Amino acid sequence: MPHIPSLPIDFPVDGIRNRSSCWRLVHATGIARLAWIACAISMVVLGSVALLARQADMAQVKSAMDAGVTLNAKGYAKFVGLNVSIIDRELIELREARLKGLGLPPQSMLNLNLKALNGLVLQVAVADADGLIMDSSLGQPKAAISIADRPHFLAVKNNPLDQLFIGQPVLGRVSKKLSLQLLRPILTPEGRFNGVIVASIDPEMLKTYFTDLKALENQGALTIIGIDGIARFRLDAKGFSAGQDFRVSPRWKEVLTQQSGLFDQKDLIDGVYRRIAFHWVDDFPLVVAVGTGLDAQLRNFDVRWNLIWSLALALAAVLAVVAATIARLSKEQKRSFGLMRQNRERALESNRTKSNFLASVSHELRTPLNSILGFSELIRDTGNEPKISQYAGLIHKSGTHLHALVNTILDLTKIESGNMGLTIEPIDMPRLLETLVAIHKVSADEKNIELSLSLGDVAQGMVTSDRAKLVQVMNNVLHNAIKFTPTGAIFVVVKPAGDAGLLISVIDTGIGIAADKTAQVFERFNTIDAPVSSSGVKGSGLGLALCRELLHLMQGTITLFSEVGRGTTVDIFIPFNISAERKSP
Amino acid sequence: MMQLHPVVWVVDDEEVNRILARAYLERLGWEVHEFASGDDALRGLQQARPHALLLDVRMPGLSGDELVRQIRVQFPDEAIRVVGYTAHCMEEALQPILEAGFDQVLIKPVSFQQMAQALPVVSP
Repeated sequence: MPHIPSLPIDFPVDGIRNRSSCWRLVHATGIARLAWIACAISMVVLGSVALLARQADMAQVKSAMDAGVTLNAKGYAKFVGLNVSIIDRELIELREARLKGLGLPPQSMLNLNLKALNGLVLQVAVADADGLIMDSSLGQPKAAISIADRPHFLAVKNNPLDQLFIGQPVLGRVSKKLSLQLLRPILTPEGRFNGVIVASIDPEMLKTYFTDLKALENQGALTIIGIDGIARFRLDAKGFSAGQDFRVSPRWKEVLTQQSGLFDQKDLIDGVYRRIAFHWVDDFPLVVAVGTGLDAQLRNFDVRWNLIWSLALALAAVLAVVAATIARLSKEQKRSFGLMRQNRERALESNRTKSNFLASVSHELRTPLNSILGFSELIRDTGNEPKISQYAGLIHKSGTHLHALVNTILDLTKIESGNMGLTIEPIDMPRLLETLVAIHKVSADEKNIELSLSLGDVAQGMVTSDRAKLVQVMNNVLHNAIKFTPTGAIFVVVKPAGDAGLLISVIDTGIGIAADKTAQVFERFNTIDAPVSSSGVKGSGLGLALCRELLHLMQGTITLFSEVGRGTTVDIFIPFNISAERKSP
Repeated sequence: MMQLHPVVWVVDDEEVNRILARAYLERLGWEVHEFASGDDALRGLQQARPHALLLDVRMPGLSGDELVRQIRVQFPDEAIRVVGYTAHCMEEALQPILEAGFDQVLIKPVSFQQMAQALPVVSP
C-alpha cells in the first residue's frame, strides 16, 4: 500500500487571491491577456507619438525650406531689379548724351562707370530706325551690322513706348556672345521712333547674387521670367538656358496675380519636383523664381525617419517578444497551479478513500474478533482439559495481537484523516511513569530482566498533554524494549529538556537494530525482518509509527539510537504545553 | 432455583454473538433469554420485563439504538439497565449511539472482564 504524505497546511494554490482588489482584477483578466493588451497599447502609443513627431518634423523641415526659398526669391528679385535699374539709368544717360551729339564711351569707360555690375554689361550699342548699328561701346563696327530682324528690336519699333524693354537672350551679332538685350527706344522730339539704344548683358552674371551658389544645391533652380511668360534666364544643374515658355504652367496665372508666392510643382523644364518661391522685380516686368528640390531636401528627413521607423519596429518586436514571454510564463504557471490543485485534490481524495477503506476494514474485523477472543477466552478459563485451555489461550493471545494491530491501523487512519482529537489535561509525568513501569515490571520479571525508573533531578514533572495517548506511546516503547531484550536491563530515565519539556529515555541492553534500519522502524507498513530471523521475536510492526504520529500530534518527538548486539535507546521529548494552534488539527 | 437468577435479554441477529453473550452472562450468573430481532424484543416487553438488556446496536429491522430509544419512551419510570455493543469505534459514529439512551456501550471485541463490569449480577 503506498504511503501518501500529508500535505502542508498552507498550500499555495489559493494564496494569490488574498491580495488587493487591483491584483484580483489582474488575476481575473489573466496575466497573458494583460501582457498582450499592454503590448498593443504600447505599440499604438509608440506609433502615434512617432507619427505626430514625424508631422512636426515635416512641418519644421518644410517651414525651414519655405523660409529659405522665400528669402532667396525676395533677395534675388531685389538684386535683379537693382542691376537692371542701374543699366536702365545708364541707358537713359547715354541716350541723352547721344541726342546732344556725343558718341558712346568705350567699353573700358563703361565698365568703370558700371563698376557695381562687375562687367555685367557686355556692350552698349545704338541702332537707327532701320536697325543698323550706328555706334557701339566696343567701337564703330567695321562692316554694317543690322539688328532689324531681331525680335526685341521689332518689339520696340512696333510699340515705341519710352520704357525699358527686356528681350530674350540672343547670340550677339556684335559681341558674339549669348546675351540678354535691354533696350530703350530713341524718339524724335515729336515722339517718333528713331532707333534704339541697347545694352547686352551677360546672363552668367545674373547668378552672381548667389556667391556660393548654395541655392543650386539640392537640385535647386533659378529662373527669371518676363511678363510675357518667356524665360529670360534659367540656371539649374544642367547649366544656363533661356527662352522656355512658362505660360503653359498651371501656376502661371497665379504668378501673374500675386507679388510673391510659394508652391510645389514638378518643374516644366527638367521634371524635378520642387518647392518654388516667386517674387516680382520692382518696377520691371520680370519675375524671379527660386526652386529647391523637394526630394533632395527631404532626403535627410527620409533617412532620419527610416531610422526612427526601424527603431520603432525593433522596439515593437521587443515588446511583442516580452508580451509573448510573459503570456507563456503565466500560462505555464497557471497550468502548474492547475496541476498542483489537481494533484492535491487527487491526493486528498485518495487519502479519503484509503481512510474510509481502513476504517471499514477495522470495523469489519471487530465482529469476528469478538467471537474468536470471546470463545477462546471462555475455553481458556473454563475448559477442563489443560492442553485445550493452553491452545485456546494461544488463540486468544494471537487474537489480542490482531486486535492491537486493528486498533493501531485505525489510530493511524484517524491521525492521517485529521480525525484524531486531543484531550488535554495536566499530567504528573513521574507518577504516570511509575505506574506504567510497575505494570510492565510484571512482564519484565517474567523474562528475568531488570526494569527500573530513574527520576533524577526532575523538579517540574507536570505536563499538559493527552494522557491516554502518552500512555499508548509509553506502553508501546516499554513493550518493545522488553520484547527485544532477551537478557540484561531496561532503564527509564527522565530529564528536563531545558524550559521546553521533558526528555524520557528508555535504554535497553537488547538485540538492537542496524544503524541503516533505524529510520525504517518509524515507517508505516515497514517491518524489519532482521530481529525475526535472528531471535525469533516478531517485529515491532506499526507500533513505533503510531508513536511518532501521536507524539507529533502532541508536539513531541521520538528518536532512536541503536547498535546491533548492544541495545537501543529511545528518546521521547514531551513539551510542557501544547501550543494553541495545533490543539485541534 | 431459576427464580434466583436475574433475567437478561440478549438481542442480536447473529447467532454466534448470542451464543457467546449467553456463555459470558450465564457464567456471570444471569438467566439469559435470546431474541433475534429488535422487534421481537419490543413485543416481548409488552408481556414481561427483564432486569437488563444487552443489545447489538446494528441490526436489520429495529436497530439497537432505536430499540433503547423506544424503551426509554415507553417505560420512562423503569430503571432497566440497557447495554449496547458495536463494532463502530470512530467517534463520529459512536456519538449518536451514546445519546440513544444506553447505560453503557461496549466496543467489540468484548472481553469477559468488560462484560462483567458492564452487567454485574444484581439480586433480583
